[in-house]
Amino acid sequence: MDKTDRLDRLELELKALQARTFRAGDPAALKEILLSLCRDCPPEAIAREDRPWLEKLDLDIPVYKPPVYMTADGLHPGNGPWKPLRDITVGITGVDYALAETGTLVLASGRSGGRGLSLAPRHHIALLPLERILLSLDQFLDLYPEGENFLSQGSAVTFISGASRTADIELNLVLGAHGPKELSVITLCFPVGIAG
Amino acid sequence: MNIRTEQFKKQAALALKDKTMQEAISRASRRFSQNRTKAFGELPEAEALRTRAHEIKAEAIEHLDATLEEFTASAQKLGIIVHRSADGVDACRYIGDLAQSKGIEMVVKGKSMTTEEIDLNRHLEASGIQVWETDLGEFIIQLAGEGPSHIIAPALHKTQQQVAALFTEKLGVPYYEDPEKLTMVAREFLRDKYFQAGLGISGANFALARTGTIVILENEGNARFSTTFPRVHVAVVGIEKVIPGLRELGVFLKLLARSATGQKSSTYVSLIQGPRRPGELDGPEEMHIVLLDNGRSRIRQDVEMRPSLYCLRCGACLNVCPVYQRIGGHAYGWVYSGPIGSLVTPQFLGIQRAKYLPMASTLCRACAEVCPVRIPLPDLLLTLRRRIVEQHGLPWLERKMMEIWGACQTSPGSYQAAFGLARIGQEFTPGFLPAGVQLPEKNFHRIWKDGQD
Repeated sequence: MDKTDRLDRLELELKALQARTFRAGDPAALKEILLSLCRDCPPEAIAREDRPWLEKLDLDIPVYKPPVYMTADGLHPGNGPWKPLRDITVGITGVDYALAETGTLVLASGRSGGRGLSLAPRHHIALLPLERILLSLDQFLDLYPEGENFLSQGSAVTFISGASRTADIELNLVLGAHGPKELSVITLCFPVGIAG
Repeated sequence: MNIRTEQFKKQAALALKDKTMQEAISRASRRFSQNRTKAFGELPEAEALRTRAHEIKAEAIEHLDATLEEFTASAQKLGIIVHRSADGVDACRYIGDLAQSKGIEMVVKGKSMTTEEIDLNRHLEASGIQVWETDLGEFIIQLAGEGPSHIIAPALHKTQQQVAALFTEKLGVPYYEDPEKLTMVAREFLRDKYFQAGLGISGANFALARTGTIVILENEGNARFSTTFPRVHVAVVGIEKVIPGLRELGVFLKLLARSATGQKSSTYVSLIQGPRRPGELDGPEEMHIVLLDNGRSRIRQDVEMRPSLYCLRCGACLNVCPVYQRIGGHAYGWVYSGPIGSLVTPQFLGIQRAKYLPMASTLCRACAEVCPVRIPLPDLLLTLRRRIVEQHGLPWLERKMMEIWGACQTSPGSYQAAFGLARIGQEFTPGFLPAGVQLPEKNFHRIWKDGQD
């Protein structure tokens, strides 16, 4: 199975999970897709993850940086540092790997704030480099034979398969139970210069 | 929750009259189990994976002391504070003290059967801490003051009208019946809580010994919220959840969501390895893991019953169980219901307090057929029944009837005589046998004989 076969399979699975999929052939196409997805959204409500290779894409979208974390100074976190995240409705993050067979995105970088930004905004837009699509969970796990090097991925590694959902009321499927109501995945079919 | 396992018979009888509940439960469990069948059909290696999953659990629990030691050391290396609790009382006290020492007034919780088992919410609330269940189903039953009726879908028994009325009463919102609107009410209400709470509590589906990672599966994202935003995260983990590492996790990830809901993967699988590190932008600043025993070591030492500990809490055995479908989850009287509840509840609470539960099985083996870790549920239930009889003997009536039955079987003559008497006797005891069931004019023995002549 080559790269495009894996991409086809991934998109099929993602659509079955009610996610939207796009392909960007070059940076200009990417900007156009992002613009169309964010058309109805005020610019201050859009933020992107702080990742080096996203920086290089020159997207002209502000970086999400939570202010310094609350310490034991007696203030509730809600009064302070997380406030900005509450007001963001579109969160744009990179994706470390995708697993085609299950329509899964893997967010492994712990440093860049993607853990919160892929969760709290109403719409999560995930940017996926084409060469990072693997076929299966096993292929992903094979990258970490000893497990030790997995720890270097940061304090949280998240597998995301579709938008947040629930069926807790009489089995009716409802999207956006707590996390994003919408998931859009844009595959970047051009070199983005990821190290490693 | 209150333990009502002693009243099993009464509760089951009441449940049998509750058609609304039965309809809701059987519709849901049918859907789950159809989805499961389809998902397993698309996974050619499913049977081999189930066998492998059983082996991994057996191995990990066989060497539990070493596995736990390795997990503890790995987790500590990540900066996680690990606490071993011998029982629920200790675990509740530890978490309550932690919250109070940090001046935390509000807690958000991801769904966790283990915390239900130790009645953590009640303990925290008694110390004046506000606790919010954030899984939609758990939130609903928390507002209603009820326990879970299903392992993975705790509010399965509630209709949308009931949820609508509940939200109107407890949250003061207008009456909406639409599930989408109701979900949005809960979403908005709980969203603020995640950002206000100082402590997030979760369970864990797996704990990886080699790396110290805990793994949480969910669909809603509420567990991610609860473990990402509050400044302290406590995970309450049963000691039986420890497996060696990532490679083994792969086996379970393929089985668990498929067994529970028929999904290829849960929407979110979070692998959490420690508090926020220097340079990271999000995550809690402090992380604790409470490794909970609460009777698990005792079950482990009981070699016959040890496979009870392999359970992943997927709920597949509930969905196929003819008894569960008729009586629902509440009749079982405690947090765990269905075949797995019948099996583990008497072991957690003592056979004395739950001696009717192992009887609540037709031994049809449907549960064993679907169990992703191949727990021989019917065999273990039979073992429990045997022990109950050994300890308490049979009820007087049952013992007498078995003696009479035995005596009638000693010769063909006495058997024929007893059959004849019973056939005549049934005419005078209407209602003794269920409607439509009658001993025939001639039994097989007689028909055979007549045919020979």
